[in-house]
Amino acid sequence: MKTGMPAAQRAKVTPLHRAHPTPRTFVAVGAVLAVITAAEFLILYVRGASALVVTILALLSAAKFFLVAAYFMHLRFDARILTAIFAVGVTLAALITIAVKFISLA
Amino acid sequence: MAHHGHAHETNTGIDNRKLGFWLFIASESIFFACLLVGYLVYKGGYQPGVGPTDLFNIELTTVSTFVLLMSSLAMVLGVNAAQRNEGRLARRWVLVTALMGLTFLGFQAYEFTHFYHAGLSLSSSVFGTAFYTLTGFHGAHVAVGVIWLLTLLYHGRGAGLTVDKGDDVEVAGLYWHFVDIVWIVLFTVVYLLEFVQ
Repeated sequence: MKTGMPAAQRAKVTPLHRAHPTPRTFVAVGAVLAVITAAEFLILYVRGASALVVTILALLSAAKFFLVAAYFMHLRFDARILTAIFAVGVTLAALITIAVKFISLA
Repeated sequence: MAHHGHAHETNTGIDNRKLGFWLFIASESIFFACLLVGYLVYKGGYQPGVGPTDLFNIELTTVSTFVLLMSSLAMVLGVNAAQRNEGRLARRWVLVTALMGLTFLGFQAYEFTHFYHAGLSLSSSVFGTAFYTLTGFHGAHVAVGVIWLLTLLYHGRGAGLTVDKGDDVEVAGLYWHFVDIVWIVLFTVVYLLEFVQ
């Protein structure tokens, strides 16, 4: 192994050089999460458009998921390898869910 | 991160605990997917009158979801304060997070008690087994998180959670946010979708 240089330089990962978020950013993200949760509840009162409501609920849930992962879990600002590790786990989780659900329907 | 008090020199440039914890989170995602798919397969197996729409109180669960989301906000503000070496502020935010976690667990205990008295137990139907297993394991994760936060509060007594404990607070924060992310999925799939008309 090469020595004599800092670990970050030896690293095969690329650190992202985005400005670190401030508490104000986190509060703004928290406010968006609260608004989305309220919207998820209110949209349940829409009748007769179940396919549209299900689609919107899925999109709102995905938005909350990515906001928490990107900002609160800091993935938007950390090394890309951490995003890759999480993406592998989430992708496998989604594939397992879809595969077993289809097997059970067959 | 450069401003962390005791970042180790590693091949990846990432603290080993943090890298290892992300691997743990990836494996936990698969664990919860297995529980969720079990629920999706068996959720139709209930007796009349004790199904999801008969039992679920969506208003109550929306409030508990809001509490858990806001606990994640408190946690990230705690991590940020620790990294800025504002130890006492960080400790206060971690305390708020733990209290909100306990509030969420209170909501879940109320919900489980109500369901049990309405006739849904772990063994009354396959829906009951799948529901309690899925949401119970999530609740257990929240409980472990609360205990973890309480140990942080203990270690942060005095000067607070200063920058030398920044990595410890950050890893605890990752766990807490993961528990929050799992609930975001469960809230939609288990609760909200049952009430689409």
